[in-house]
Amino acid sequence: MNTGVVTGGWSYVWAAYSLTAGALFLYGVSLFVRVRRIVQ
Amino acid sequence: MIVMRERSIVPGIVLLLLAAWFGFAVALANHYGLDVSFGISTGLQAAIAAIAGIVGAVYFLVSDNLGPSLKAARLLVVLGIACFLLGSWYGLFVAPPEKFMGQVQRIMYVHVPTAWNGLLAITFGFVCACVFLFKSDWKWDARLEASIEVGVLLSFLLCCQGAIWAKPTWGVWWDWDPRLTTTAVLVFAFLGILALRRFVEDPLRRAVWSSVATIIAYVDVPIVYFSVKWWNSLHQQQSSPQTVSSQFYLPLRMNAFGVLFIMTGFIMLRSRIARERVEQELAPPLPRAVEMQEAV
Repeated sequence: MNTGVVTGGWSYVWAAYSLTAGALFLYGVSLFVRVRRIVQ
Repeated sequence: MIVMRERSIVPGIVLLLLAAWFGFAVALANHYGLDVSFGISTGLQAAIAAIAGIVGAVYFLVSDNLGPSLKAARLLVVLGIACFLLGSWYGLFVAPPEKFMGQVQRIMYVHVPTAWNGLLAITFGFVCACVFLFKSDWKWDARLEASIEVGVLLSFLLCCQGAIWAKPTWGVWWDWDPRLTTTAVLVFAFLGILALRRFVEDPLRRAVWSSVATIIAYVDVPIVYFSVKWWNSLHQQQSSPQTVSSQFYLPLRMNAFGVLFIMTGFIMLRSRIARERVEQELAPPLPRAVEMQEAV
């Protein structure tokens, strides 16, 4: 029966957080590496 | 050589940290049922924290003494990661699930801060475009490139998070609803501007064309914001502190300031890279003798 309440869904939560953290981490690392190259 | 005007980064950093501290303290007090309103409504408290944070971030971004700014930018990224981790931990494991959406509502703690800061980065890019056209100062062109790139990254992440949230709540990954469509247009428009910058070799043409394109593309930002009010949309309307439970404040604000710190640090670092490229392009060619000497 459709109760209007979403049940479960942890996998979606983990997917959203992992995607965000992963993308920001990779972009951050690329920035740090490029800036270090410039400073040196 | 681009001339850098000396301006202290300290006021920007202090304002940014004070804003975050104020936002966290009020949210924490609300969480534990303490009255720290001082006669100010919750909405106004949130607005004060947000405006102070934005002013601090913008002041920091336009204060350009390279050495200390780079160190401060790195520090800001680290501080942002700490805030984001703490806010995410609280949002995932401490905050209660929402009544109807259950656990998937926890995506809000990362989705909403990404949306706010993505639009903020693009708005800063719009300001940079306007200032460049008036002042023809290359610093603003570098800041434009940096803020658009970071804004596109956050807006793209916003679309992905939205799709992940849409599947369990709407039953579909994507719908051509006004909010989603205008956000997708935003991502592709600014991605196009980044592509334009990549392909135009003449620095002056590149700067002018991308500034004009940014001003035109920015028209979509208010449309994105008001789309849920103007048209019937699957996407919910903007929440306010009056409509959000106080138990949701803390993780939301921590992540909002976390992403704000990360975004500000990223823009500062990326604008340094963009400025280096412009400096190399504008530098006069070396005399032949010096070139040969360097080759030896």
